[in-house]
Amino acid sequence: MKLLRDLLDKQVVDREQVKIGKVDGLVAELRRGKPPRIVAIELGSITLARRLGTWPGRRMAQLAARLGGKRHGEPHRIAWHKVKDIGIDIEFDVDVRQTSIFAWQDWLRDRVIGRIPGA
Amino acid sequence: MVHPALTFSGRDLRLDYLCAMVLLGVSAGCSSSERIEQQSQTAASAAQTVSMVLDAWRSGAAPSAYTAGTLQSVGKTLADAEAQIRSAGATEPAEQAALATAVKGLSVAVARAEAGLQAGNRTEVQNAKQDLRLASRSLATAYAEYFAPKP
Amino acid sequence: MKKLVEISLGVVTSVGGFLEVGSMATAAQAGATFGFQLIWAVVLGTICIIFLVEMAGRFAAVSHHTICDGIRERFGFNVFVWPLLATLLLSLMVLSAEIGGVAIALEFATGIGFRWWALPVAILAWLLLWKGTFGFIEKGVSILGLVTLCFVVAAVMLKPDWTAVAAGAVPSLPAHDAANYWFMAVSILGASISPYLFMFYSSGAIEDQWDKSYLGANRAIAGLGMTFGGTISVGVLIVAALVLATQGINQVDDYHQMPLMLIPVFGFWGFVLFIASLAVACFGAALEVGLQQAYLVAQGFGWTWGEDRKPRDNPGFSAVYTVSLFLAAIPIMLGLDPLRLTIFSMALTAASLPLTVVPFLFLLNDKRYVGEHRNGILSNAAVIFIIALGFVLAVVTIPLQILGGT
Repeated sequence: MKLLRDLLDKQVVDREQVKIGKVDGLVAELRRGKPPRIVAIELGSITLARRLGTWPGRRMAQLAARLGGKRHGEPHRIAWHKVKDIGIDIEFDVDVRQTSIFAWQDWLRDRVIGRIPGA
Repeated sequence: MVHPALTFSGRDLRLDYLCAMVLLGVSAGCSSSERIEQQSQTAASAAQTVSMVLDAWRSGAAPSAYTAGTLQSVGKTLADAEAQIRSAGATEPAEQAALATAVKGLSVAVARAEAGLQAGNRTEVQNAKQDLRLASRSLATAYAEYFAPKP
Repeated sequence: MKKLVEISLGVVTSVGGFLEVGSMATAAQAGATFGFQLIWAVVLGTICIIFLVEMAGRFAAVSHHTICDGIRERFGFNVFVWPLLATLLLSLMVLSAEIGGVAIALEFATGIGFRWWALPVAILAWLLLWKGTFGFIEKGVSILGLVTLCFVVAAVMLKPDWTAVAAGAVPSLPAHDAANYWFMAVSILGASISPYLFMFYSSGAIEDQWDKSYLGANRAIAGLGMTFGGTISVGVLIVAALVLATQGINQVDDYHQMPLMLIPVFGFWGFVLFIASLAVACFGAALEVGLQQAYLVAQGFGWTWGEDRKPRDNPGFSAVYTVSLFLAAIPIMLGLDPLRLTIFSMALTAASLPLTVVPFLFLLNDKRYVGEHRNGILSNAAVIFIIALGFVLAVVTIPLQILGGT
């Protein structure tokens, strides 16, 4: 399997088929004499910014930490062993509500969108 | 004058586009006479717009609010055209002044129509339209003079 | 029978999507200044958009990916970010122009200046996106959009010289105002080949859960729908040529001139029909462009998306269209001339085409996405042609913007 081609930038869904993001980055373990092994995927703005360059990556991490607290200063990771299915989307055996991936969406819902009538 | 389009033309562009660029380059030498030509045409087109909207208003096809808005907007266009013609570098000052005066005449006629419209005075609007027609004619004459081959 | 209903509905929808302030304004300008001579640009633009829309629909039906998902997945984020930014920015300008179009229609109808209408129009559009469903918006827009057929009726009633019309469908060099001629050709192409149109179409195919059984319907909808849309644009051009140009109005640079097109044909009803056409076409387009902004961002970053969900379940998605609509209303509120904005954004759209169209060449030939439904020679030739056209337009547009567009 060609990792970059077949995994990177694919849609990620949780076990309830909720779209939680794209595979923004891959975390691999380098092993002597053997091909590298994926241990996790990364999602979120910090990973995306790092792909654009070191400077945007550092800036985005600072920004995320300032806005969301220390907890958000690092990219979100999902362990590779949680993967359930690779098709059009990649399904992970996680529940997005138990992660902090959607923290900003929740904030948006509670503070802004949810307060507008008819939401 | 170096035209920006020409710097790209060394690439694999198709022939007709190259032609277009050359034409562009030619027209980029935007002389004052070209600006005068452009503005005169704008003024003539604007005058026809007024005449058409007044006809529509008279036959009840265009509401007063829209008609007034159009007159106001065209009035601005005409004032702008006049200013541009006056400020263009003069190669033939007499003809240029005649053009500017003709455009001024259009502006005056449009202002008269606007006043007549505001007062709901149909005869006044009709008279203004007459003025407009005369001013258009003098614009056409002045335009022909300006672009007539000089001895 | 069910398929037939579906196809006709799809055709009507694409007509609604095709005709908006850009195609109306550029066709009116071209007709007034150059008579039938620029009909070829409408025809060429229509043929190009037929190909792109068909491909976008086929890609969605077979791969279950929208075009946007496809670009991100196939090329990676670092490439995707460019078409994303370009499309977001341009669509914002187009959205402004559409809001401006509705605002102008309301100014004509009420006499109250267009700037005052920008915010109410944005709020109404937002409300429909907030409360409405995809089907409701799609069908509502398209059925009301049929009012624009009045331009075709008017064109026929004016009894044009059809051989001259046909001659206009063949490209020719201008006799005067070359810079202006090419600038108008570029704007017409930009108005016809709008990225939001095919991106929205592919999102719609996913929202309507298309699969391979829709491939035939897709072809029919793309072909017929865009042809109808193009026909209406040609109608506008013919009416402008026969009504405005013959009256000596050969420069449409003021939006006040536009309602005059239909008055000699239909009298007062012409005025009403023009307002209705402008308002409906632009409002429909504003809804679609606003929604497409949200689709684009949500699909690009992998959030939940879909117009049928409640805003509360989809906060990111609803925030994008909300912000877009209100941002787009600002320039109009500040009094920016909607007609100028329209022409300007259409030309820029044409210049941005390579960014969004190049990916088609890869996506529609990639077995992993479209399997046996890959592009044939004809479709690939069309894509390559559009890319080449886009590059030329990109090079030509910027100087023309300075020369002809002022």
